[in-house]
Amino acid sequence: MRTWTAVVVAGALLATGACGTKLQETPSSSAAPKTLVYWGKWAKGTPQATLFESVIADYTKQTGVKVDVQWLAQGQEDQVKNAIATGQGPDFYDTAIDHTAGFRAAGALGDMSAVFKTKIPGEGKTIEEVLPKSVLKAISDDKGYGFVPHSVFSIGLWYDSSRYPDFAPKTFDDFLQLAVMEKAGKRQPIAQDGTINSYNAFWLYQVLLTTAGPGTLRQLAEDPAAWDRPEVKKAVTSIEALVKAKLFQTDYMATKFPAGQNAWAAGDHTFNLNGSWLGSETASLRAASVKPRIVPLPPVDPAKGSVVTVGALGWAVNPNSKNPQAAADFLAFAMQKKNIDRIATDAANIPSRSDSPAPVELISIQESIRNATDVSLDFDGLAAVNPKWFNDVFLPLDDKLIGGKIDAETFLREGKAQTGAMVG
Amino acid sequence: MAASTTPGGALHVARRRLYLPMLLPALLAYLVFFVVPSLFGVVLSFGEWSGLGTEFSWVGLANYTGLLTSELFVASFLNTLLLTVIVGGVLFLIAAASMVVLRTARAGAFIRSAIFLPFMISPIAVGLAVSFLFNPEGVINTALEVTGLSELRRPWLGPDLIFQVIMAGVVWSAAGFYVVLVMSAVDGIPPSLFEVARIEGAGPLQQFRYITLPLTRDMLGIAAALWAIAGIKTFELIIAFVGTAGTPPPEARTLAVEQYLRVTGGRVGGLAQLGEAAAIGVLMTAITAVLIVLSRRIQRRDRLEWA
Amino acid sequence: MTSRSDAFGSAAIALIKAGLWIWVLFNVGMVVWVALNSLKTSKEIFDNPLGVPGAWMWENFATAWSTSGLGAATLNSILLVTVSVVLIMALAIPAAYAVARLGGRSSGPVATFFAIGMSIPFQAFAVPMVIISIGLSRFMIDWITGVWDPRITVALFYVVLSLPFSVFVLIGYFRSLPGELEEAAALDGATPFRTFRQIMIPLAKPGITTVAVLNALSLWNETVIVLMLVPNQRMQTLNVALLNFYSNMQYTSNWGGLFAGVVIVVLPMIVTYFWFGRRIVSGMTQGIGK
Repeated sequence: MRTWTAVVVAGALLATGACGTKLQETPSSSAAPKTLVYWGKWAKGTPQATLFESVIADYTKQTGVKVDVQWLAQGQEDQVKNAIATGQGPDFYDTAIDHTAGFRAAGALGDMSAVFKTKIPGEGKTIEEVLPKSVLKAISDDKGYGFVPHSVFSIGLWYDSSRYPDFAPKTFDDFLQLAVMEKAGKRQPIAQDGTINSYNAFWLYQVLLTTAGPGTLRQLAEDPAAWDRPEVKKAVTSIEALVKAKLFQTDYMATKFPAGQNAWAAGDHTFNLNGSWLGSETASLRAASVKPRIVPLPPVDPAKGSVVTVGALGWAVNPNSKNPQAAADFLAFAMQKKNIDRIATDAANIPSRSDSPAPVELISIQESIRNATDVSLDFDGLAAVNPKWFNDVFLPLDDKLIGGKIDAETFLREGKAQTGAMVG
Repeated sequence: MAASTTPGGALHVARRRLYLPMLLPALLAYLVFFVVPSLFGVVLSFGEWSGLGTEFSWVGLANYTGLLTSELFVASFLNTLLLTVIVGGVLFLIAAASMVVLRTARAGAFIRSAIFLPFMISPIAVGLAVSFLFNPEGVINTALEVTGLSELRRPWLGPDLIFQVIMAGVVWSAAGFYVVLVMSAVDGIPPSLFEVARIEGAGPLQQFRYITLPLTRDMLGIAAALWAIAGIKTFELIIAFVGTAGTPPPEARTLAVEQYLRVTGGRVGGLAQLGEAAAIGVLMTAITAVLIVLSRRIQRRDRLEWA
Repeated sequence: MTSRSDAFGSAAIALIKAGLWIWVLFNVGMVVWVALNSLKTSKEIFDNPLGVPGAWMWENFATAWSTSGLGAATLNSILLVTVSVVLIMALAIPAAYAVARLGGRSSGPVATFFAIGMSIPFQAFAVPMVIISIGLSRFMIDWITGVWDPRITVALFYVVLSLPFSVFVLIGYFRSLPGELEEAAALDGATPFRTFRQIMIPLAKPGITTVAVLNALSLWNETVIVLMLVPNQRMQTLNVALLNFYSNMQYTSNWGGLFAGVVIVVLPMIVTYFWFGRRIVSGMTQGIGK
């Protein structure tokens, strides 16, 4: 029956002009492969896809090795995992910190250390040597490096530097005071897309980083007692103060994303706590007068060391690839300074290399990434490791706190109780 | 309704002989490529698994007990039932209203086509339209302001109202399909019946009560079954309303959304919880199967025939 | 209206009519709004959501068409939907006829069996589908044809997933057809199969058209299966291309282009629908559960 239906379907498709192609072309395992297969997460036509296509063209010109790139965008992760689990799939693929755990669990990620020791052509340095320590730490898990990063990002406070050329509040309270002053001038200072719960959670998480340091959220997920820590209470009460001051845009819990951030780009509000990607994301909607800049969120307690959230995007190699050496060679080629510089110039993002300058609006946060004494993954990497607690306990409660439905005390009590119930 | 025309005889045998060859291709394709793979879901619901390449372990009934003791899951379960019942009720009212007027209305075919439109518009377009309508500064609030009804301005997409707004959206997108469906039955009623009723002095509402409603009960039963199936699975429109970033708030979660969150690992690269997702699927299928059987009961009652 | 119709009734009817017309206007307005926005700059869409474009950005269509590969995707969509719908109907029509008119005791349970298929949520089916897809392509490449096209697998699942709805509705339709014609044909000496082909199928044409069009509409909008089974952008469909375009807005911010993409995807459906509209409505008229 299976073959019968398949033959009918196949015949029908062929008859209507489809051309059958091999699902997977696996080049022979001889020394010099002709083709590498690359499955990308970008959609065709995005600045990154265009940039990487031109890097690939250069590489083919120089080495004769072709790179067959498929821009799969949505669903790329599942495709990669399924294909590699069944012995197929690309030689290398796009990934990000959030996906390392998933790719590891599915056996799609192996030991990347050899790749990091590969020399970048014409520079005499290895891939490992051109990346900042903080970035190397962020892309690693307990099994080592997860991928070769080309772009990094961070979370910080975006502001309009045409209004505040010397914006440099020392503490979170200084920032609140400034915002309160602005509100007195009949202007809601902070844009917030409150329907995106993880954007709401940026506030509490970034403040927690400055009171209790990285890893606190993970403790909150695993240990009900962590909810009683004074640093946690301090962070939550700071957020309560922010909410009570009514500094967010009108009806912020009901904006349809991206209405909030677009209003910020249009100059209706001065601040937005968001990722370093926000500048490029809203570029086409920006008012001419607005000059966006991003800085790390000012700390509640300036005495603590500087912690910065680091995210990264990059390429991982299929552990079952028949051409691991060729894949490493290509990645080393792509990591040349002239290529990675273009992450800033072509795609308006922060390049991964220490020596590649970020676009002007991102320079301050790139500086913090280079100098950070400690790094945190976005939400302590918890969203990937414990999505259940993150989605079912933390985000709903945080939404209520940010939305002003509950006060700090209730938040802490409920959080402790619900975590206790989940941990069991 | 008789299943075969003439019982007994060579013809009957020939017809019986045709039964299996005509049925089997579809039945086998359905069985082999749909039913059997779906049974895999039942097996999966007793285990813990994150997809190909990851390790599988048996957990017995833990997925089911875990779900049924989770407040969020039970809330999403109640949301789903609430949505199916309330939207179903509204859809029935709209269908009934259409039955009263559309039979004779001028441009009736055009109205049906226009109401049917949302059924074929991609959820992406719907999601975009929502932002422009329901945003705090969107068309609805602006219109309320202009018409002097500013007290009615609301944060429509906020946690308090989002579920009601979603239900309205489901009504908007689904109603066209059901209106077209029941109107097909209304159009099948011989116009002479209405003629007679009118001559005897029955108003439009009485005509509806004594002619249209009884004679379309079959179709209403089919429509009810189709809605029960679709309602329990409500998913796409919620994602279109809530957007492609972030996870839907608990207030807006249905069973299908809960399942989706587990399949995708919460959209943030988390490990998929396919065992629990499969358990939700089994529960959804069971509920719907009960509803289908109930709606078939309605249909199976005595048919009213006209001469 | 009759001279004796009660005031309440006519007031209610006027109200319902007004409500329906408002609804119709709203839907038409939506279409016009999407069309207008597809001709605006991204900034204008947010600054001036309701107005007429300041400058008519026809290049949005060029951008949407070229950057997201909509050309190839359109061909893929047309091909997949056409092949799938033909196969669905080839399987569903005989099966529904058999159950409705030829069956004995098993026909009732068979009808319910198909109906329950509609209730199986897709997610329960996703993992086995991927496994079958991979197994099938390997089997074909290693043993049978040497090549395989993942679009064939997609078509296969489109067909089986559409069978429950199609069979369920067509059973209702065939049941509603009068039996006398079959008897007359039999008396004329026609074989049962000839009766089916030459009498019953033409009679059922409106219902068949309806089911075919409804299947075509929903398959045209399908994205998930293609996303999971086709690891090749050149083989992806129109809606997947649009979805990718949408999810990458954060890198491109091309809202005008996105609306243009929506128009490119939706417009053929609207045109087709209004083209076939009368036929669908009349198909339904004589159709489903009369």
